[in-house]
Amino acid sequence: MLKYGLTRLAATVPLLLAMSVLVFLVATIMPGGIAVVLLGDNASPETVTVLEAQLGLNDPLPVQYARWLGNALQGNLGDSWTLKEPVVGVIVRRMPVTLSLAVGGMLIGIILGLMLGIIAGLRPGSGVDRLITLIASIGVAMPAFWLAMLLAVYFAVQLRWFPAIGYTPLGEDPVKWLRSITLPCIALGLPTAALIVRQMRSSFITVLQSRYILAAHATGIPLWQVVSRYALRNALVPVVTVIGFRLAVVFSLSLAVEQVFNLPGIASITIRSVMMRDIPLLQGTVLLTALFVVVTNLLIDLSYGWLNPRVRLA
Amino acid sequence: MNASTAMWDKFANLSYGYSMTPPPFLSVRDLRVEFAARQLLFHRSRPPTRAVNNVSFSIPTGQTLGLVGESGAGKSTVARAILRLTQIQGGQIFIDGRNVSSLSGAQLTEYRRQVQVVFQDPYSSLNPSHVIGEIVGELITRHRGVRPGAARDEMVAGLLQRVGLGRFVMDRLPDELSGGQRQRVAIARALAVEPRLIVCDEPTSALDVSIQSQIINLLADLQASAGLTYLFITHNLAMARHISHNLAVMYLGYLVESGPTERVFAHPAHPYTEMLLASSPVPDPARQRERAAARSRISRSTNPEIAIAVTSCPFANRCPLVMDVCRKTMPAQTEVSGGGSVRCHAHATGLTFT
Amino acid sequence: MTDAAKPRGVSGQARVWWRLRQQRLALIAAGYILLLYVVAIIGPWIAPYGPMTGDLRSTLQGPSIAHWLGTDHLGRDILSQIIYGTRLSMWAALEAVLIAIILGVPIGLLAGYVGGKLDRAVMWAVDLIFALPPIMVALGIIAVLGTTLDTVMAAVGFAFSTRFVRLTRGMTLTEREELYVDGARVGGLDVWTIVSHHILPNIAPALIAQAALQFGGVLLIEATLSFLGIGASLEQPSWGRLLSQSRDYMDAYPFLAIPSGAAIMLAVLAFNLLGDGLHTALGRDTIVAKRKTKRRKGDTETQRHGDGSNARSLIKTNMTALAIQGLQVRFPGAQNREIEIVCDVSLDLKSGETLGLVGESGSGKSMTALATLGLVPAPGWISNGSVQLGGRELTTLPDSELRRLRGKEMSIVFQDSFTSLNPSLTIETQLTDPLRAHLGLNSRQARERALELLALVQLPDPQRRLNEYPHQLSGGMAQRVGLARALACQPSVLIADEPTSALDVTVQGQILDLLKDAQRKFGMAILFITHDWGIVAELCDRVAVMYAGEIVETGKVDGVFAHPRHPYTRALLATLPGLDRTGTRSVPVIPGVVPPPQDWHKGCHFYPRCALAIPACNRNPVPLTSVGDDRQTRCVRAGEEGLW
Ligand SMILES: Nc1ncnc2c1ncn2[C@@H]1O[C@H](COP(=O)(O)OP(=O)(O)OP(=O)(O)O)[C@@H](O)[C@H]1O
Ligand code: SF4
Ligand code: SF4
Ligand SMILES: [Mg+2]
Repeated sequence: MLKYGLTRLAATVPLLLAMSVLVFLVATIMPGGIAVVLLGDNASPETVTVLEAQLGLNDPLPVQYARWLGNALQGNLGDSWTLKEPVVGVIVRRMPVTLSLAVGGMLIGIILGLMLGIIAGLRPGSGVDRLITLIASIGVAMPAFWLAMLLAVYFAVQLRWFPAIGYTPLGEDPVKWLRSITLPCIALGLPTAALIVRQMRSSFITVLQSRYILAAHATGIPLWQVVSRYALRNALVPVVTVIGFRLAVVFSLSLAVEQVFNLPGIASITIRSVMMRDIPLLQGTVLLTALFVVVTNLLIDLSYGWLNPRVRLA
Repeated sequence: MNASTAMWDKFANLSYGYSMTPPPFLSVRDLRVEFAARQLLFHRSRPPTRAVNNVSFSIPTGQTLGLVGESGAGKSTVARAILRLTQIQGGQIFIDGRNVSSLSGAQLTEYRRQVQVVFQDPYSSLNPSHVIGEIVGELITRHRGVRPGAARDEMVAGLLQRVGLGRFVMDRLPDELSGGQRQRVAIARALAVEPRLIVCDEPTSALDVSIQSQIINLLADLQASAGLTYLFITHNLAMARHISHNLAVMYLGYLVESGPTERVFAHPAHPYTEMLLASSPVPDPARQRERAAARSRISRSTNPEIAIAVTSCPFANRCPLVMDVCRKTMPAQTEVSGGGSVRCHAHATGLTFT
Repeated sequence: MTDAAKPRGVSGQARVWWRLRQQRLALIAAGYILLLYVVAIIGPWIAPYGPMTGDLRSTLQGPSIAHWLGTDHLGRDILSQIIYGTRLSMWAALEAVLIAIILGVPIGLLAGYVGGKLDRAVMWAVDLIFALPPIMVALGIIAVLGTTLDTVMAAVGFAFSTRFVRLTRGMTLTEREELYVDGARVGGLDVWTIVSHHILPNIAPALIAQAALQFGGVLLIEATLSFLGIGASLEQPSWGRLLSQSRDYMDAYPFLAIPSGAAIMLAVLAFNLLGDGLHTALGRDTIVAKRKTKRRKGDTETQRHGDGSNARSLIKTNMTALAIQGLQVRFPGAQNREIEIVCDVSLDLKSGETLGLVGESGSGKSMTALATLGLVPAPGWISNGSVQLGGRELTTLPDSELRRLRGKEMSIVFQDSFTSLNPSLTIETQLTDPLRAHLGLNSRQARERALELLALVQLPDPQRRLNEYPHQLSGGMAQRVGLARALACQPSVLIADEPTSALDVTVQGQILDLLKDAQRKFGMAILFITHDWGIVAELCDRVAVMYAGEIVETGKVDGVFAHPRHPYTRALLATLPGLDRTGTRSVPVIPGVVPPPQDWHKGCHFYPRCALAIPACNRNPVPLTSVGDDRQTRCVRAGEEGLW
């Protein structure tokens, strides 16, 4: 298992490098070039040339990349063009909000999804199963930000159980923090749960119909043991894959949900960077997402190996 | 029987380079196939595993060579090499005296007109989304240039009739046919190019017992009427005995014994052949109980799961006759009286087990 | 699955339509999607107002006759905006999905078919992009290329194309392993023909289903981007944009968010349902069998009362270890019919005896075995008959009590040893669980007993093997483990369902010897299922021949081999090529094929293929009758002199 873990860890390095190349290239392939974007279309050619020289844009690409990567590794992604402050600082300030949402939403989704998926999969075709499947189908189709709006209207505006907008940092007041992220997390968690229910249900059904479950029944061990020990673990394997992909999606869905609740996460700066072509800021947010994705994928790979000896011992 | 022994002598000699007439239709010399271990983009590749090691044999025109051995012995790999579906790492394949192991392009297409195949699994060997008429007709178009239409349909119907199917199956999908019918379609497809050699890779083992004999009879009839040459792969010794003129036995990538069918059955020269024969049950209670007792004596002590050295005789971990030399050197291919050859150190010393 | 599971005599297309028609929800969804596209096309003509024409005197109004869905903050008609939004959203989604397919499918086909380095390189790049959330990929591209709707959808299409690459490549890889592709290569067809003409048609159905599902994803992303203010510009009424505008008025007028949100959700739902339905309908090996959970129990109850007493009286001595009487297994079939897969099976098995059960594929041997253990798989059920183990009726026993007998008094070894072992549990767990459940051993005792068992089945190096997983064993070893598990509690009855069919003959011999040894030691009765008459000859005391769901002949082994008393047994024995038979190049054959269960005749099941058939054979069900010493046969002409 340790060896497997280290191999997976080592495999993330080229992945991260490749991502950094992609992110770096975003800046260089801007139509007209960075200088034009910075100075506006009306800038005189001379000023453009001067700026290009200043920014080192005349160096060969690999040199530029090495310089950029060197800085990035030292925690320097440059200054945001529009906010006029270091990108890393902005992101570090806003990161906890987005991370709270993503993790919270994911937790709700996984717990709810696995439970309902198992219940539905145990009795396929029963009334409970059909109800759960129906709700899950709707849940998967539900835009997270719409759900967020509906939740906000009902629970925050009408019932006043939770704040409708705003964020309290965890360090300031844990209870208020929890209240401020509850609704956004639910909005992210329910569609996620719906997705996991569908996968869990179908893979559980498949596993329960398999030969080795039949054989386990034939050995006469108690039903709960067959289900919990012989079926569950195998059924989880494809679910874990789905969870892995979903993590990345939840991270990006939280962009929209943050907007609904006016949370000071990375959503607004991401949108800002796209709309205003603030390249360093964009690079920062994309790199951050990539890092998040790579780390979560590593976790997924590890749990995959834990669940599936064939992967671990290959 | 004498005739076939004589024939065997001839082509056995030929495969070792003595000039002889008439030449065998197919002859394979020192065939070697390796499979690279699966490798990832950024990983060093592992040493390759050898699926087929220095295998040589030949088949006279119009005859059948039965290739037997257990799963993993390399039978299908030999077939795939001959069919040019697998890259070979060494050796040559001759058809009609012509080296075909490095053909490509138009020449390869021409080669494919002469050599066709019937696979084991009739459920996966026919394209599930094509109707039978297309499956059989496709090769007529490709190789004989007859466009789809009434003329081609007639030809297809003729082929189907030869394998005992009515023309009504032409617009059926493979799904709608039984296993036996599908296997007949596979044979009709092979016949469509008027080949001279058909490689049959366990053509009956996926079929019901009562259907197997129908297919065997069909293949035998076609051989008689069209002078076809067969390479017939099977793990069923009774089947092999029934259909083949000569027999070749493979074990873990090596051809351990070959020779006229009668000789191999009556006087097996390799301990593995003998074990195979002893292990194949016969449908006769009194005799089978006797044979089972003999089998237990031979195979009880042996254990296929023990690892063996690369240089040793591949059968060393299971062989009741194993000697020190067997664990050190790979036995060479030596001739056997009564026809054929064997790879076994004990054969030279005249040891047998009883 | 064999032919039996599929409706026969229908052409392929017709069957696909039939399967599609079964997917009612998917059809409704398809109808809705059609409607959406019709609206998208004729929108400008049916919308009651222009999308941007507002009336500032009537802002934020609820539904009314004039404005069916009310008005927004500028007094614009919401219904009209939704209709125009449909046009925009559906169009954008189509554009993105088409881009994704055009980019993704060819690359996937090529990578999958060519394989090797190209494949690895492509997949590495694709995985790289795939790992990023599509919305981030799209954002990156949009930042570079600008935020017009067309660029946005192109970016989304690019982001989604990785999914098609992965999917197409995966299916192509699987398909390439199929023998028909090898056949096409041997046939001399070129790569282009093989890929486009052979592989593509086979993966197209799954791709179509996937495309429908991706439509949903693309719609959601388009809505999200519009909601964030990227993509559709302010003048373009897309659904996401409408929703985003309603946000400012949520407190005062929440209804504003409903129509546009619902429009998005319904469209996505429709695409998802269509995708699911297509997936089920076009999947290659779908079995359309409706479940009937409720009927099962009631049926069994009534019928059992009818026959139970009769069955019980037939049980003879306490020597009998297992007695099966009139066993019948049914499955739900097409058009609400029930299909009888095991028709009338009666067997009895004395302690220490080996009974062979022979028959061709699909004759119902395995189902008989499973029914004996009370393990008929889901939609099927035991519709009649009795199973008695040591004089105890099993068919009426509740599951919890049956479990106490299974694995302890009666156990089973399966043919496919690998698939009957759980891939993610160690051999130790799988061997010791039954020991602990039945014998109450603690884990150390159970481990010791497991070691003994592995030694009994002659598995080399048992200590090490205990900690290994099934995939680390060879086929022969896996079967030894299966056998050890079945013998764990020294059962009085062992059912062996073709335990050696998947093994090499030399290993088969060793397993047979093991079975014989174990029987000598424990004195258990063995029901040995096989289609190999040679094994029957070696191993069995008595044999039962099964054909099309029925036992057609039973008797002592030597007697049946010497003088078969049923035409099927006789013909089958005649077709067997013997090791010592030489020369003759033509084997006797039985004409025709074993029919699938729904085509079984009401009279003798062998009637269509029997050389001795007379009209009387096809009239009524033929009973199993006794013909001499411990011999029974199911043939109308069994008593005729001179025939046998
Ligand atoms: N789950 C199922 N649903 C519907 N029909 C089934 C199911 N399982 C088996 N059948 C059908 O039951 C019949 C008997 O199958 P069974 O597996 O008992 O045959 P068998 O004699 O064991 O064959 P084999 O020699 O191939 O093992 C077949 O027609 C098969 O298609
Ligand atoms: S060479 Fe030695 S080990 Fe190999 S088969 Fe002959 S006697 Fe046995
Ligand atoms: S009952 Fe008639 S058809 Fe059936 S086996 Fe006997 S003779 Fe043949
Ligand atoms: Mg079976």
